[in-house]
Amino acid sequence: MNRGKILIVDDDPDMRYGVNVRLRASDFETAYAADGISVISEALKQEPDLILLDLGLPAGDGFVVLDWLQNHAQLSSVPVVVVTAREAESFKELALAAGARDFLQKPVNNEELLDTIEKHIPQLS
Amino acid sequence: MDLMPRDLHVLHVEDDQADALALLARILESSAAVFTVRFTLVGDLEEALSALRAESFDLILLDLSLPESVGLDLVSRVRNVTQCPMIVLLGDSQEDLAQRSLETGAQDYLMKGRIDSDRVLQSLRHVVEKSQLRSEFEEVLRKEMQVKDHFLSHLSHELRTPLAVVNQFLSLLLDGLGGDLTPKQVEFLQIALRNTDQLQGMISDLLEVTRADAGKLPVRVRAISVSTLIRETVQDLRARADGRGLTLEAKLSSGLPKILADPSRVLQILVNLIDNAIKFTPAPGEIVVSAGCEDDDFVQINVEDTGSGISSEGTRRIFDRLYQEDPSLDEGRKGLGLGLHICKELVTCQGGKIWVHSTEGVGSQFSFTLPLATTQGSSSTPKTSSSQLHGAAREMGSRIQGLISESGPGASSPDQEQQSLNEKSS
Repeated sequence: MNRGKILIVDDDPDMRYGVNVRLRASDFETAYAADGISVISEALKQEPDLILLDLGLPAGDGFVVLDWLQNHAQLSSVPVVVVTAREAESFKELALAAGARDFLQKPVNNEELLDTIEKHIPQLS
Repeated sequence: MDLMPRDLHVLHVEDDQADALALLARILESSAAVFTVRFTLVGDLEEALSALRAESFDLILLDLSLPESVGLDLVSRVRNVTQCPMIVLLGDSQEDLAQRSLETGAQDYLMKGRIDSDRVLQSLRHVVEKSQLRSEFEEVLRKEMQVKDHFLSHLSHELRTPLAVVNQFLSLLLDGLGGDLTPKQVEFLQIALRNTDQLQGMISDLLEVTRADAGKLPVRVRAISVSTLIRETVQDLRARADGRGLTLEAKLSSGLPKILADPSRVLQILVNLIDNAIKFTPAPGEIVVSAGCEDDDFVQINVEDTGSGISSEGTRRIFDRLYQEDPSLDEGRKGLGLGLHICKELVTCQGGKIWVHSTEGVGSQFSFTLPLATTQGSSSTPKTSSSQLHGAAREMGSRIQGLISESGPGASSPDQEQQSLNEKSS
């Protein structure tokens, strides 16, 4: 059963790998991007149902990516969940204001990650 | 270094005997080649204080030819409201007052009977130079704080990332995603996971305490129900207490009014106090969280245990940073000694107090107060501390900085990524 495709954006390869294993075990399809520019090209190519976005990215900070996604005709409807090691106190509101649907601070507990994805991913008909 | 401001704004405080001051004014005015002087003349302390509130000055000239006690009092009262350099003017019979004026906060003194232009200029130069050095020093300190702040936030980010990865892979293994596990392997992984959680808590505490020291703990207060918060917290922590053979319950007065506080911060305080009670109470024992209206302004929340208690020195020092009640505790129970210090900072910045009563061998009761939500405070608009706004603005700045400095190509292309992931999973 395929529960939807998730674009995992993180500049740390180990982090991407771990989340990838976790999501595939939960029957999600996955795609990856390691920097701001490839988020954009991958999002266009892969047409994900949800994007997990790290904020501290090379070549295009997470906020620039959020802004770009918000202003894109097809991609603005794709829910974005920010997953970052940055402080929630300082960044949660900024991220939500920039268009993120939710904010998770690393290390993210898996139940929380899956619940949040469940909450925001469009239900496949 | 340009020691003299081009325009020197002097607050001139004089009483009726203005002769000496008039002379002084002439000297200053005639030294226009060195600097330009602008005078604001006031007659008494009240006027001086209101002038100091309204404008900024480079120098205060304070006439002390008044009865001795009044004079010194004047120096300290002016010093209480401003750090502006101050030169006092003394009558001929007041030489003995010179040293004490300097001790009270004046930078220099002039004897009215012996005023000559060289002496005045020298004194001015000296005083203004000192004050410029001080503001430069303060600027250096401020910048240093900024660097330290930035460093710590960077450090905690850098520490958290690998920790998050360790956490992720341990839980992948525990969830059987790496294959079947023997009971021994599960036990070992659980121990590893528990310790990464502990490490995570310490990193947060460290960051928190640095913020508290810089007066930058983000706190957003709003009207909240303390009963709900306590009930939920107690429910969440009950399993942990049960696991150690302890009972944990909430005893709340009915109809507690709302308090004005930051719910996540109150939760943090409660979890910290209850966790400590669980840690230091031997089974079988009990922990009771109670709350009641202290008076018209505060709610008092208590966390009471039947634990080992705290020594009398301990009760005095337990909220100090890095204090450990029993240094011989086994490593697992020792923390950084920051938890209660952070609690105290959190309670204080929300307008409350925290204290402890304890009897060794009988138990301890930690109590803290938080202000009731007044009509003004219960409005739905959350109050944001200025330091927090400041923090957000600063982060924005560093984000932009990051964008500029990190515009190179990404670490790996998505295709390479796909390949390496496939390799890893095969």
